[in-house]
Amino acid sequence: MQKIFLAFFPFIFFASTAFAGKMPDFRLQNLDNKTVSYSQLKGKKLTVIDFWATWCKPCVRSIPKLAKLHEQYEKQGVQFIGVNVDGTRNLSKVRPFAHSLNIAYPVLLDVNNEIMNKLKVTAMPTIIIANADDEIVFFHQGYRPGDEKTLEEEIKKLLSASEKADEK
Amino acid sequence: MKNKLLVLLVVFCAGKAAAQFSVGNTAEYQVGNLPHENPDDLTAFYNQLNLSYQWRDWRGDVKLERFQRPRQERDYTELTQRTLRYNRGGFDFAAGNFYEILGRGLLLRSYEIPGTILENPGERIRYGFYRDIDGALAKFTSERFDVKLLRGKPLRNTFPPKSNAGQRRPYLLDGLETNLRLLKNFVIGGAYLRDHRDEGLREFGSLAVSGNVGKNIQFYSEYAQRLGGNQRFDLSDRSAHAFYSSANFVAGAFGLSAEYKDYNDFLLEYNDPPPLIKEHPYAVLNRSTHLINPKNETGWQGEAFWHTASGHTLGLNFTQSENRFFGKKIRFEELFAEAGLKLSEQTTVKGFFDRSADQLRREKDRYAGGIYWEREWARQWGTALDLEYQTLKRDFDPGQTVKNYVASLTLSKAPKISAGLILERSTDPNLTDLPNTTKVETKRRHWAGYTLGYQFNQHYLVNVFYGTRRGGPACTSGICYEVLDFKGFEMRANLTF
Repeated sequence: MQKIFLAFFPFIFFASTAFAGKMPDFRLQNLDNKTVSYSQLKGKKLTVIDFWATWCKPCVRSIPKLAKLHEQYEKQGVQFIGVNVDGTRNLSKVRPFAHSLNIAYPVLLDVNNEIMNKLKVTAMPTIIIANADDEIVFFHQGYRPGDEKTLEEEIKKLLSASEKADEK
Repeated sequence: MKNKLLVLLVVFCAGKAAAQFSVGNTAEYQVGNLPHENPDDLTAFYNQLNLSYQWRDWRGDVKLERFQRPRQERDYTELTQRTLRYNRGGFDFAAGNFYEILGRGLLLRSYEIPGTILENPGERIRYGFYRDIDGALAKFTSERFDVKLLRGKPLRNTFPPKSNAGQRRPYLLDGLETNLRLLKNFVIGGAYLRDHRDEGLREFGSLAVSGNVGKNIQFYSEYAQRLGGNQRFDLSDRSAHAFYSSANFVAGAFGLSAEYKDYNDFLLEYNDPPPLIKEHPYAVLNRSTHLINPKNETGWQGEAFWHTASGHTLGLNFTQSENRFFGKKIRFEELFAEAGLKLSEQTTVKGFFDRSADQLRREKDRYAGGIYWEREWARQWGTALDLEYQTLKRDFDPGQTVKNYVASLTLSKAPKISAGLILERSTDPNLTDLPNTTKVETKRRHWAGYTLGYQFNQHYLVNVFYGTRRGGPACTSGICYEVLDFKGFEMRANLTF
């Protein structure tokens, strides 16, 4: 019993705290084989990062919905970035797959799952939103039909908070 | 006692400076066992805590794993990873446990499959699924040039954390890789790797070239071989080598990928050459995957994608692999086709067909098909139905046709709740015979499982499983492993801060 309590202790301890993570300024290769950094790509107000893989059914279902949101909010300072975690097994397929899906935002290749591990991502897909100060303000794992509406509400809420902060 | 103090100290420090800490924790509790094995209420608890501390350009990471079963000799609490990193601009230094790849993994690939827990079938010990390197790494990355240097001991993840350190990390590796962008679109690279074993030093080298031809074509080729002999760029059976080449083509909504492999005597234990076998999201196909054998394998894979603007999709894949055993050729072949229709903004339906033959498993005429239907209802409710069927014949029993069925239904309410039912049935004689009876059961076997997922908030995700789960080979993130059958109750909680 004592052992189980100790193992669960971190859960209890962190229950009331907020996200502490900051988005690291990572560098990854894009689909054109070029190394780019997060700071080069990040949005003026928000950056939405989608961790996905070609073998992941819910990831593939969610991508067209994310592409639509990107189209809608890009001009308002929201940048979407896709981080593909396929590894070497499917690496050759990522570029044709992403192009045929017409993903207009940058897709980066996290072959070693390095960024995925740094950000404590354990499920596919996972959506992370970072604000202009690179603070992680939203974290959502998995995809259920209708999740894109929650994401849109979150983007609107964060954009409005950012505008209020700018006014001050 | 020492370990308990360590947990408390880490948690205490996290509380003092929460703004600079990030936490990921996976806890899984099971009551159950392999189906038809006693006791049927065996309990197991596994916890993996990943803590990171970031201070300016410095970062510290630790992974603490804990496993408990009633038979305490299998319990462990181990600090399985600890890493100190410095990262500034294009420079990256790491001391401790790290993951790295040389080229496309022909020489070296370390990895972690987050969210997956391995279970050692012999001792029934559970532990995290990763193959890291314990040592030091120095990297520099820029737009025109990159270089990496590493020294360390790769993990043999078939041994759980409690095993002897010498068994888990038996070799010391030294590696170097550099890549140079020659022109705007072409990169040439080379790598050197050596391992120190009791039997002596082994050395390997590789050369790679990659690039873009216009906007439509991209290619990558890498050749690796063991150094020390007289052969250079030798693709015959006499040399230890690995050759991998791929090209892809894009034009509007159409995409095409083609890959070729030739591996001989290249099973290094710490490498992971691309297998060129499709990774299927469908259960019946994922389970029937071909596992590569870098000791001797050649083959190719082609895949085409087409996504229309209105949301319809078409995918085609063809794979062929060949191994040679004692002069005999053993072939694996697969043709896979998938079509998706977007019936409305709320409804999509996908269908697939697969035909394969695996001479190594002595399975021929392996056909599979299925339908996946998804519907989004009002107020973010959703339904998904997955129906899959597979049939095959085996060389040694031509009169018997094996049939596998999978049916799953999931109801969800975004963004918090999902509940599902998974039913499986098989007539495979390797599975129908129950181990706890003297009779040989040959008719059929069923598995039924219920799942429930609840996302409390952005930090907590809980998944519950109750029932029986069919095991077998599974592939996640390109890595294949064996999943054990399970009957009972399982609860997994994920925490992220």
